[in-house]
Amino acid sequence: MPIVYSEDKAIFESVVTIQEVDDLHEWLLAHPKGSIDLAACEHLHTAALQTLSSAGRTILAWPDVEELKQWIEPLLTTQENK
Amino acid sequence: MSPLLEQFVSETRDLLQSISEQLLEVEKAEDKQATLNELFRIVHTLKGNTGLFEFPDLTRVLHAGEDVMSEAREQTDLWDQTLTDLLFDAMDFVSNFCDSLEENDGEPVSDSALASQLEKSLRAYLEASSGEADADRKATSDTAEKTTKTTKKTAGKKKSTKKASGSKRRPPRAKGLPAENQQLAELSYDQLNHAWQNSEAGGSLWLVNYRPITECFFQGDDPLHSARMAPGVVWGTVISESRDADINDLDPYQCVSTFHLLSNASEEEIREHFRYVDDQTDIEELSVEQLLLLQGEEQKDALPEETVDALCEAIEGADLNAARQIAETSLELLNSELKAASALRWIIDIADGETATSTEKRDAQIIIAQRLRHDQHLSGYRFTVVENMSDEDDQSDEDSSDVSDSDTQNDVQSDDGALANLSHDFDAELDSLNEEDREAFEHIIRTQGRILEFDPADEWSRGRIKAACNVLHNAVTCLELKTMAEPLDTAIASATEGDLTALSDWINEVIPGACEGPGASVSGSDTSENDTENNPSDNTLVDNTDIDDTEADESSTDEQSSDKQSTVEEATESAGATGDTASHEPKIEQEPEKKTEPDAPVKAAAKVESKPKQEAKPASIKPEPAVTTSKSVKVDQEKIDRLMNLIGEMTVAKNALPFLAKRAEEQHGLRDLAREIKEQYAVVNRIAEEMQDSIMQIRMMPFSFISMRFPRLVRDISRRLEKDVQLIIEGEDTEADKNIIESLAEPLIHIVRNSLDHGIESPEVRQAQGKSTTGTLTIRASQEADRVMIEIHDDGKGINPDVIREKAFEKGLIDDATRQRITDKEAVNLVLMPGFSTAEEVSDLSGRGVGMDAVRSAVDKVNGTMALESEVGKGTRIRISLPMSIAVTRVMIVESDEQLMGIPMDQVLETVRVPRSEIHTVKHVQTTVLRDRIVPLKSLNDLLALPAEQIINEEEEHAVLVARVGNDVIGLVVDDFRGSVDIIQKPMAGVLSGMQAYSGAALIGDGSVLMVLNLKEIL
Repeated sequence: MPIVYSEDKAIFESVVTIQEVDDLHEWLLAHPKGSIDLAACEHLHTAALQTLSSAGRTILAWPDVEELKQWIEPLLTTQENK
Repeated sequence: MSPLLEQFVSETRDLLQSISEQLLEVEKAEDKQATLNELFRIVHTLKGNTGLFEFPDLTRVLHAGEDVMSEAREQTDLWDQTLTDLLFDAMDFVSNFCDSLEENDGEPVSDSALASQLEKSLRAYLEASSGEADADRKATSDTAEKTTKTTKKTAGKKKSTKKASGSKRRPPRAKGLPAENQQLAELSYDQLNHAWQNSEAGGSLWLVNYRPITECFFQGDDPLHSARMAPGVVWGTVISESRDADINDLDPYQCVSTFHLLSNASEEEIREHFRYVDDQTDIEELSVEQLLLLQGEEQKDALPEETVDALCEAIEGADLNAARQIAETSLELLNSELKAASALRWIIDIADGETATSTEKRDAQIIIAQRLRHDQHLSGYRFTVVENMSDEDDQSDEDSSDVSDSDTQNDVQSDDGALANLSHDFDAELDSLNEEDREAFEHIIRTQGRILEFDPADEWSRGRIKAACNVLHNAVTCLELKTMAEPLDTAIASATEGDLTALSDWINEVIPGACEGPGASVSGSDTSENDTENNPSDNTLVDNTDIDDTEADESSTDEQSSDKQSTVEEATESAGATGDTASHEPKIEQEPEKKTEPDAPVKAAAKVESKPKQEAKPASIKPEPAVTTSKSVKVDQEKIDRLMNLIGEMTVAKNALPFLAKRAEEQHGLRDLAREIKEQYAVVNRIAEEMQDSIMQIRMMPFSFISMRFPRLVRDISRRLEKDVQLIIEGEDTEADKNIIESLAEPLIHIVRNSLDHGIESPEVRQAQGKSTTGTLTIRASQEADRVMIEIHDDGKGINPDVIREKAFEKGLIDDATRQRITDKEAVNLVLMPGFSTAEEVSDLSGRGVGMDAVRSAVDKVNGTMALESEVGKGTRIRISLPMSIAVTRVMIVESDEQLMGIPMDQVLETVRVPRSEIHTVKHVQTTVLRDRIVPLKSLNDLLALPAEQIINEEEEHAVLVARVGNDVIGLVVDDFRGSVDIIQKPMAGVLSGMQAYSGAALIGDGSVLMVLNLKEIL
C-alpha cells in the first residue's frame, strides 16, 4: 500500500498512483483534521497532488526526495492554512 | 497482452466506431462544423492514446489524420468523398492494427509501407488544400507557419547568444541588464540560485509551461511525472486550481494543474520529451543571466551608499573575495527579507560558485550590482560613486550629465540602427544641458513615465495622459531640446489617439526604463496593451539607465566602450527576444496571462481538442466533465456467464423447496412447517426470478450494436457498385441477448450485401422503371412478446421465382416434381437452401452460394426462424424472428415410459387429448384430424426406441402434443403432460455430446435431470 492511513495522518510511501486517489479522497473527506506525511514518497500522481492541495492539510513531513519536494512544496504549503 | 493494451484495443475499437459514425454524419450533415469538431476530438483522443505505446506507424497515420481533420474543420468545404474515403482507409488501417495486436498478443505486425502511404496521402491532401487556402485561414497551416516563425525567432536568439559570448559575454563595462521575466520573478531566491548554479553561464534556459488537458488522466498521463522527468530540469513547480477548490466538490480525475519548469537541456531534447503533448506545451527561451533577479521586499536605503559603492568597486576590480566580504558583512546587518539582502546573497553565492569562471562570476555580479543599485535607487536616485573607478554601475547621475557617454552610445548606434541613433542624439542633447537642468528634466520625464504606467482604462486616464503630454512638450520646448522635440510630437499625436506606445518608447529613449509601458502599474489586468508594446526598443536599456549612462565619462577606453556596446546590444536582444520589460516597480504577475493571450487564438484554431477544455478550465474549479465519466463497466463475458450459471443453480435449488414442503407434509405430517417452507419459497422464488431477470438484462444488448456498422457498409458497397442507396435503420434500441445479437451480425451483413448487389438496381435502371433513382434499404428491429423481429426490406428488383425454380433444379436441389408443385412463395424461399446462388458471376460481394444458406443456419442456431417474401420489381423483404434470450428456455415437460422429457415451448402449438377412436392410419402413418387438418401422429416411445406402449388414460385418450417442426405440424404421442418450466439449458458434454436427439439437459427442482428433445432430429 503506497498510502498508509491512520486516524490522524496518511503516510505516503514510494509511488502513489492514480489508483490510490479514490481512497485518499475518501480518507481526506472522512478525516478533516488528518495530516499528511510525505517523507517516504518518491512520486505521487498529479491527481493525488491535486486532491491533497484541495484538502489543504498540514504536511508533517516533506518528501525526502528533494527534487519532488521542490515541485510540490509551493502548491501544498500555501494551502496549509486553508 | 497487458490489461492496458487490452483496454487500449477495446477503446480504440469504440473510438473507431464513433469516428465511422461521425464520418458518415459529416457527409450528410447540414452543419458540418459541429460534426467535424467532434470528429477531430475523437481522432485526437485516439492519437493521444496511441502515445502510451510504441506504435510509431499507428501514431503517424493518426497524426496525419488529425491534422487533416483540423484543417477540414476550418474549411468545411474541403470535405469531400475522396477525403472520407481516405479517412476510412486510415481507419481500416487502425482497425487492422488492432486485430493484429490481438492476434499476435501485443506484438503487432504493422504494415509500415501502408502507414507511410496513408500518411502521405493524407498529408498530400492537406497540402493541396493549403494551396487553396487564403491567408486568413487559421488552422494547421497557420500553426505550421507559427512554428516556423518561432523557429526562426529561436534561431535568431541563438545567434545573438553566440554573438554575445563571442565578444566575451558581459564584459566589464556591461551596461545592459537581462530582461526580467515575470515568471522567473516569482521564484524564490533559493530557487533562482539553485537554477543558476546548475546552469552554464551564458547558456540558454528553457522555460516550459505545460498545461495538460483536463482529461489527460484518462489517457494514462501523469503530467507531474512527465514534468519531473523532463530533461535538464533545474526548477519546476505545479500550479493547480485544485488548491482553491473545495475538496468536497473536487473531481480528482480532472486535471486542473499546470506545470512550469526551467530546463537547461537543449530545445530538441525538451521538445522530444513533450512530443506527445506538444500542443499543451509552451517553450520559451531565456538566458541564464535572466535568473539573476533580486527577490524580497524593497526598501530604500537598506544599504548605505558607501557599502554599495565599495561592493561595486570590488566587483569592478574582479576581486571576488573583497566583494564577498563586503556582502557578508552587510548581510549580517540586513533584514534578510529585503531585496538588497538577496543581492548580497547573490554576490556571495556567485563568488562561491564552482562551475563559473571568474569572468563569468564577475559578469553575474555586475548584473546583480546593477540591480541592487537600481533597487536602492528608487528614492535617492542620483548619487555619485567612486568616479575614478569609472564604475559604470555607480555613477548614474553624474554620468548622465557627462558627455562621455556618447562614446559608448555611438558604438551602439552603429549596430543598433535607428534606436541607438535616437538615443545617441538624445544623449548628446541631454549632455548639453547643465547639471541642474538635466536633473530636473530627467525627474520630470521619469514622473511622466510613471503617469503613463497607470491604468489606461481608468476614466481619468485621458486627462492624465493629456497632462503628461503637455508637461513633456513644455519641458522639451523650454530646454530647447530640438532633437527630442520632433519624435515627441509624433508620439504625443499618437498618444492623443489612444496609442501610448510611441510615447512610452520616447520616454524610454530619453531615460531608459523610465516607463514600463502604458498601464504597467496595473497588476495583472493591464496586460493586453502592455503586451503589444513590448517591442525591443522600449526595453533595451531599461534599468541601467541611471546607473550606467553616467560613467561613460572621459575614462572610457576603447576597450571599455566596445565592451559596453556589446552588452547593450546583448541586452537589447535578450530584452527584445523575450518581449519582457525590466522594471523598477515591484513585479506583478503579468507573465502568465501575457503568454496565454497571444497563444490563445492559435490554440483555439489549431488545437481543437484541447480548446473546449481550456476554456472550461478557468471557468470553474470543477469544469464540466468533457469526457463524461462513463457509467458503464466493461465486464468479461465469462463473468456474466458464471453469474448466469449460478443463478441457474439457484433456481434449481430453490425449486427443491416445494418438494421439501411436500415431504414435510406427507411424510412427517408437519403441515405448519410445510406452509412456512412454501412461504419462504415464495420469497426466495421472487428474489431469484428478479435476479435472473437482472442478469439477463446485463446480457442484453441493443440492436444498434450490429446496426451501427451498416451505414459504412452500405456506403462502401453502394459506392463500389455505383448505386444510390438510402439506408434506414429503425428500432436500434431493441434489445436481445448478447449471443443472439452477435450471432446476427454476420447474417445481416450477408443480407445487406445481397440486397445491394442483387436487389437494388443501378440508378439508370431504376429511372427507366419509374422508381426513384435512390434505392431504399430498410432494416427494422422490433420486439414482439419474447421474440425479436428483424426485417430487412429493399425496394429493388425482387426475386423472380421462376428463375429460382430453374436454378434450383439445375443445381439438383429440387426434383422436377417439386419444381412443378411449389408455389412462388416457396420457390423464393429456395434461396435459403444450401449451395444456392443465382448470380452468374461470383463477385467479391456476394454470389458464392454460401450467403443465404449461411444466414439461415446462423439464425437456426439461435432458435430463430426466417422467411423471405419477394415481389418482382417491387423488392424483397426478409423477416427474421429470434428469441430474446437463449439463456433461459421454457420447456414443456412430458412423460413417456416413466421418464421426463422437455420440449421447447416455442415448438409446442397445443396439447390435446385425442380419443383412440379418432386415430386413423393413412398410408401406414397414424393420423388424426385436428381443427380440420390432418395431423400425423408419432409415438415418442417409438421415436426414442423405448420398448413400451404409450399409456392411455381412463377415457381411452392419448396425450398428444402438437408441435411445429420446421414448416410441418406433427402430433407427438406421449404418456402425460407435466406442465411447463423455465430451465437453463446446458449443452450436452462429453460422450453425450454426440447424441443429436437431445439438444441439451437441465436440472429441475427435485434435482433430477431433464433431457430436452431436439424434435428436428428425432422426427
